[in-house]
Amino acid sequence: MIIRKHAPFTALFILLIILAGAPLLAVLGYTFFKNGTLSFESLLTVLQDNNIIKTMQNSLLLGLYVIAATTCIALPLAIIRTKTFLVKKDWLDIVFIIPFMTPPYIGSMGWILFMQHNGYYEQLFSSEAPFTFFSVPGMVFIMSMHLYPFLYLMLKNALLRLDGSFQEATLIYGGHPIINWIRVVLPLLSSSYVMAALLIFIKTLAEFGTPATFGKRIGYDVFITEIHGYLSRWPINISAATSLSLILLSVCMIIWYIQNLISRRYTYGTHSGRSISSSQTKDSLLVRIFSIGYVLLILGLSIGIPYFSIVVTSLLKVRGEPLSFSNLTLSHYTELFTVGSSSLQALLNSINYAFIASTIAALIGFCIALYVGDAKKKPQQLLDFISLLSNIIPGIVFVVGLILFWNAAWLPATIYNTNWMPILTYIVLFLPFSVQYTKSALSQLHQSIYQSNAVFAQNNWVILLKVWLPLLGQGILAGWMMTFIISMRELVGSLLILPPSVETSATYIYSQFEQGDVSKGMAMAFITVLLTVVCIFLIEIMQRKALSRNE
Amino acid sequence: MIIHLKGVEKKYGHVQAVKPIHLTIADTFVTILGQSGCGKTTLLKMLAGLTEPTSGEIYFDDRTIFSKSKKINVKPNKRQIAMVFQDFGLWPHMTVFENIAFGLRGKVAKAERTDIVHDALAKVKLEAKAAVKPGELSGGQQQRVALARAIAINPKLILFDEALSALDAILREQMREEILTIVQSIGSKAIFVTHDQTEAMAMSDSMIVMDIGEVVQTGSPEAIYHAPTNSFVANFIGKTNWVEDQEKMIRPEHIHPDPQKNTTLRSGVVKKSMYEGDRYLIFVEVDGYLWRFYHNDSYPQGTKIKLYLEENQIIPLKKSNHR
Repeated sequence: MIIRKHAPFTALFILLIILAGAPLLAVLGYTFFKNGTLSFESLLTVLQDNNIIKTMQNSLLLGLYVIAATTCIALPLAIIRTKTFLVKKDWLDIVFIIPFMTPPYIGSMGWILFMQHNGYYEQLFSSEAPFTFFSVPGMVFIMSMHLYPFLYLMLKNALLRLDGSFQEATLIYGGHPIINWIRVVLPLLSSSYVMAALLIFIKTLAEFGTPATFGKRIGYDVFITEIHGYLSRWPINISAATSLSLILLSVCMIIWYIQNLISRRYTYGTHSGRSISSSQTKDSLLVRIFSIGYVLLILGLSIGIPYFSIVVTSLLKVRGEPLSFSNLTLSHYTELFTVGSSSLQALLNSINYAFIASTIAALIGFCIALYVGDAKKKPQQLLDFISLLSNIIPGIVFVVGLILFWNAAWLPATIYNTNWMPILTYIVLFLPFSVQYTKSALSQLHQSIYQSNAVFAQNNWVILLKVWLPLLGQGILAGWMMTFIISMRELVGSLLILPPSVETSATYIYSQFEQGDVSKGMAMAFITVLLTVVCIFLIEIMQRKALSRNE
Repeated sequence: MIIHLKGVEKKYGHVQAVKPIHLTIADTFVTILGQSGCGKTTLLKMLAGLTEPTSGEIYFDDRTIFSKSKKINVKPNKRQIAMVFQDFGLWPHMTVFENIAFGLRGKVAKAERTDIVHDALAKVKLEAKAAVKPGELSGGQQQRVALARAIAINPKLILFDEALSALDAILREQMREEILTIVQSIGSKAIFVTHDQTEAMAMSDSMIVMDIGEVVQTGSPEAIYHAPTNSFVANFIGKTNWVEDQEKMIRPEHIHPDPQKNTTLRSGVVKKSMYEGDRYLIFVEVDGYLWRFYHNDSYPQGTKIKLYLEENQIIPLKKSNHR
C-alpha cells in the first residue's frame, strides 16, 4: 500500500532526476572530482584566469545595463497602458509579446544588417549613422529591445492590481497625486519590479543569440559565448567549461534565492476586491499624441526595424545594390524549400525534433502539474521545484551537463550522437512551459474539483478522460505549442548537441549568417518568426477563450 | 446508519489538527460546529476519505471504512457517501445534467440514468436547467445542482462542508429547509459542518461542538443550549450573561425586569436598547459585566433598573482552556 501510494511521486521523481538532476550533478562532479578525489583545482585555475574574470565582469555589467535600459522602456509603457485611453486596447499586449518571442539571434541579425557599413540605414538615409552602433550600448539596446516586454507585462499587471478600492482609498485619504504615487503606488510596485528585474538579469546572463552574433563583432565576451567557445573551438577545454557553468549556476541560484526572499517578505496581497476599472479617462490631446507616439516608437524599434531587415534581405537579388523593386526576388524561398536541399532538411529536422520533444514534454508536464496541485505538501513542492529548475538555470548549464552525463563511461547505453539527444535536450530546457501552462489552467478551477472527483467518480480513468482532459486540454495545448516554437529555434543547445552533420533551422540560420548565403539564412529566419507569430496568436486566442469560459 | 469513530486523529507534522476522537453518531441530522481552524472540516474530510487520519478507526455500521492498524482505507467513491462543497465543486465544462449523471457512471445503466437525473432535478426544482452549464446559473441554483448531484447517487450519508456559507442570508434560510426536506425524502443521513450556530441549531438533531481540535460537547441543540459544559460552548452557542466570571451564567430569556417567584435580584444601568423587530434586546451593565435581556419596550440610556434572575436557570460551568 505504501508503495502504491508513493508510486506517482517516485516515478515522476526518478524521471526528473534523469532529465534535470543528473546533468547538474555531472557538472558538479566533473568540476570537483579528479580521479575520484575532491579537488578545487580546475575551479581555482578558472578563477585566476584574467580573461575569465573579465568575461564574468562583462556578463554581470551587461545584466545591470539591460535592467536599466528595459526599465526605461517598460515603465512608461506600463503606465501608458494602465492610465491612459490605451487601457482598453488589450490586443496591444499580443503585439508586445512578439519581440520577446522573436529569437534573439534573429533580432540581433536584423539590427546588424540594418546598422552595418552599407546597411539599410545608410541606404535609406544616404549617410552614415551619427553614432557608433557597434558598441556596448548598441548591444544593451538590442538585448533590451528583446527583453522589455517581460518587464512591461509584469509591471502592467502589478499596476492593474493596484486599481480598484486601493486606488479609491488613496483618493479619499491621500494628498497630491504625485505624493500618492510615491507613498502608495511605488512601494507596492517595488517588489514586482525587483522580481522582474532579477529575472531580466538571469535572462541576460543566459542569452546566447545576441552575444554570439553582435557581441562577437565588438569583441564583448560573456559567460555563455565563453562556455560555447571552450566546447566548440580547439583546444577543447571541458573543465574550464564546467567551472564556468558552475559559476553561472551559482550566480543564478543566488539571484533566485534573493528573489524568493523578496517575494516572501515584501509581496502584499494587492488583490483589493473588485477592481472596477474606473478609467473613464479623458486624456488631453498632448497625452494622447505622446502615448500613441511612444507605443509606435517602441514597436518600430523592437519589431519594425529588425523585421524589415530580415524580410528585405531574404528578398534581395543582389545584396549591396540599392533597394528597388527590380532587385527583389522570391528565389531564396524557392531554394529554401527545394526537395533534397540542406535547408529543407534542416527545417524538417527542427519540426521533427520540436514535435516529439513538445509532445513528450506536454505529457510529463501534465502529470507533474496534476501531482503538484496546490503544492501544499513537501513532495509536491520538491517536484514543482525540480520541474521548474530550467527556468532559473541558464540552458547552457544543462546542455553542458547533458553532454557530460550522456558521455559518461559507466553508462551501459547512451543516446549521445543520436536524434534523441536534441529531443531530450529540448524537453529538459522547456519542460517548465508545459508544467506552467497546465498549472495555470488548473489554478482557474475551484479547489473542491479534486474532492468532487474523489467522491463522485468511478475510477481514475473516468476522471482523466471526462474531467482533466476536457478542462485542461486548452492549457496543455497552449503549453505544447509554446514548447514547440521555442524548441524549433533553440540555438546554443542545438549547436553543441546535434549529431554530426545534422542541422536544424536555428543552426542553419546561424551558419548562413556567419559564413554563407545571408539571404537564404534570412529567408529561413523569416519562416521561423512567421511560425512563431502565428503560434503566439493561436495561444493567445485559446487562453482568452478558456478564461471567458471559466468566468 | 451509525458512525463510530475510535481514536481518530490528524497530525500535520507536529501540529495536532484533530485530537483523538471517540464518538458515535446515530442521529439523522448532525452538525459539526466550531470556529474556523478548530478542525471541523478536517474531521469531515476524514469521514469522506479525502484526508487520511494519522491514526484511529472509522466504522459505518459494521463496515470498517478506515483502520490505521488493519491498513484499511476505503476510497471516497466506495464509501457510499456524497458531498456538497462551499464553492459547489461543479465541473464547469459539463452541463447540469452531465454533472449530476457523473456519479452514476458505472453504477447504473445509461437508460436509467436519465430518469434518476430528472428525478433529482425535480426535487431541487431545476428541471428547466438540465442543458445549461453551471457558469450560467446563480449561486443558489448552483448549490441546488450540487445537492441534486449528491442525492442522485442515493448515498447513505451526505456531507455538507460549509455548504450554505457562499449564499446570501435569505437564500440560506430557504435552502436550510429545502435541504432537510430533500435529505429526509431519500432516507439518507446528513452531517453539516458550519461555523454558524443558528444554522447548526436550526438544522440538526444533534450537534458536535469542536474547539482547538477537540470535541468539547455533543448532544441535542436544546441540551447544549441549556447546559453547556464550559464557558467556550456557552459563549459560542447563544448569548451569555456572567453571574460569576466564567463559572456561572444565565441566558437572556431568564432575566426579567419585574419581580417573579424564585428569583434573585441584581441591579444595573441600561447602556443601549437594540430593536429586533418583535422585541428589544437591552444591554445592561451589572457588576462590571455587560448583560443582555429581552423586553417589549426600550429603556432610555442610563436608566437604573432592577433585574430578577430565575434561580434554577443559573448554570454552573467548567472553565474552558480557551481564553
